[in-house]
Amino acid sequence: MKSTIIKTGLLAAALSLSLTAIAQEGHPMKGSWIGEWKGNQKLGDFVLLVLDWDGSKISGVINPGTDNLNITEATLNPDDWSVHIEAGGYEMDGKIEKLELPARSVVGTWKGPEGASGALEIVRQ
Amino acid sequence: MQKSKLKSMIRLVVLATALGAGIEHVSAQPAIIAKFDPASEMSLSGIVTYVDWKNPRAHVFVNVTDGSTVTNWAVELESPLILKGSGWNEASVKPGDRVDVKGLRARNGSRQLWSETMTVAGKPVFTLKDLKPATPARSEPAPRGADGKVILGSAEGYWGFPSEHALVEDGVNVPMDRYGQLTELGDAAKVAPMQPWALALYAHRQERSLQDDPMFINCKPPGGPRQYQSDLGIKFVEDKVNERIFILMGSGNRNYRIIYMDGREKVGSVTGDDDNPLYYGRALGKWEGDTLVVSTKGFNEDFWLTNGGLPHTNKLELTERFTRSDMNTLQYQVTLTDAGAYTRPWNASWTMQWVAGQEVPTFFCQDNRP
Repeated sequence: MKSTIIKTGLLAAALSLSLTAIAQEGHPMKGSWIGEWKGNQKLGDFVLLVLDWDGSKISGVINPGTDNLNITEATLNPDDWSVHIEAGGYEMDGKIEKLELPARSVVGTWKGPEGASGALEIVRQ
Repeated sequence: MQKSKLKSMIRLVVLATALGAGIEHVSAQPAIIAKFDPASEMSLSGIVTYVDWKNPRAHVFVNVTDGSTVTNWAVELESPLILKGSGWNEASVKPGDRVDVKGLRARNGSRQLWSETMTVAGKPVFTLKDLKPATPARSEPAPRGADGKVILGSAEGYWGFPSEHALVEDGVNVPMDRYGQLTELGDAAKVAPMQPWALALYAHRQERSLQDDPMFINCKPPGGPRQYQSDLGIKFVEDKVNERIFILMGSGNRNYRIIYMDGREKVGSVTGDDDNPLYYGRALGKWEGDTLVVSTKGFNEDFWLTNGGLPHTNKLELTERFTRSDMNTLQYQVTLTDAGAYTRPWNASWTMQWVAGQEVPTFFCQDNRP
């Protein structure tokens, strides 16, 4: 119960932060993203990504400081703004929504070890 | 893109180009079509209730009576700076005046319209003059100081009215309006050698009629080369004692840029002091003959590189060349290198015109949010 309250609080705080997202007019994936990979029994619903763009590839980490899942593959298809990310046995697939906003989001699905899967929604901070 | 959507876009852009044509007045405001729909023309008549005479655009509020119902409409006009230059002032219409207005309705359906024609008692008001100074019949040589160096700036004028209002690679001819809105969206790939993501983002901004421009939404500074794309212009202040040149901007909420001329070590690389990237980067200058050559890096990613919305990354480096080729002409040439957004370095260039006898205009975006 206590854990759920803490997680809910963290998520609410994260989502409220998204209202004051720092402007980022460069590569759409660069920056910090906070949100949920719902139903993730192992790591919890709350997820944080820190992504960078070096001119040729997207790199970064999922849940830095706790799970430290280094991203091994990440792509953005600008034809439809679809996103694919792989890290530590997890895969995320989604599309960027509200591309024009600093607080843009990626909405889609995730899947992980042992057949785990669920909905994904992360918002750029 | 769907065919019908493309057709609609082209129609809007043609209308927008028509709006942007005609009198050359200064542009420091968001594209009109970002907020108002060229396909929704309307007229109204009513009584003026209030005049809000503030930048970036003045508003006249009008009560319109329909039977027993009275509604208040906001009529948006050009900026007071432009209107004043055309001979109008805050008292050109007064509360109580009956006005007839023709214009374009706001896209969001609110009771706002962009005024193209407003009349009081049958007489047009807020018409615009061409504010661009006439080109002198005889060109004088560029002025020089006691040290023989060309003087880029002086107290008696500023540089404005650029020959181009948006970045386009040299040698490429792409029609666009003074806000950087392409006439044909299909020309997007010709503008500059963009990486696929940058091209798609640029096209997205164009498709949305530039309405997401952070310079207008959040009053962000016109970073990078954009500072030289405003008719409101810039002014050079050369501080020879401290070996710096300041560039004061007429369009950037009294922003200024410092060019260090003291031969200091170059900083501002991505792996250097990128903890504090700037809108204007860190600029080092030197003279090569009569040309001021400025090398700049250390840009943040919080702004649009140009009117029209070309993207950039923090890898952006600029090499700019300023040459006062005669008394009234400033040649500006820039080489852009950004491996994060472009496939190769590229060049753009244009000229600015000397506006004699005037201070650089003061324009505050945040006076009255669009």
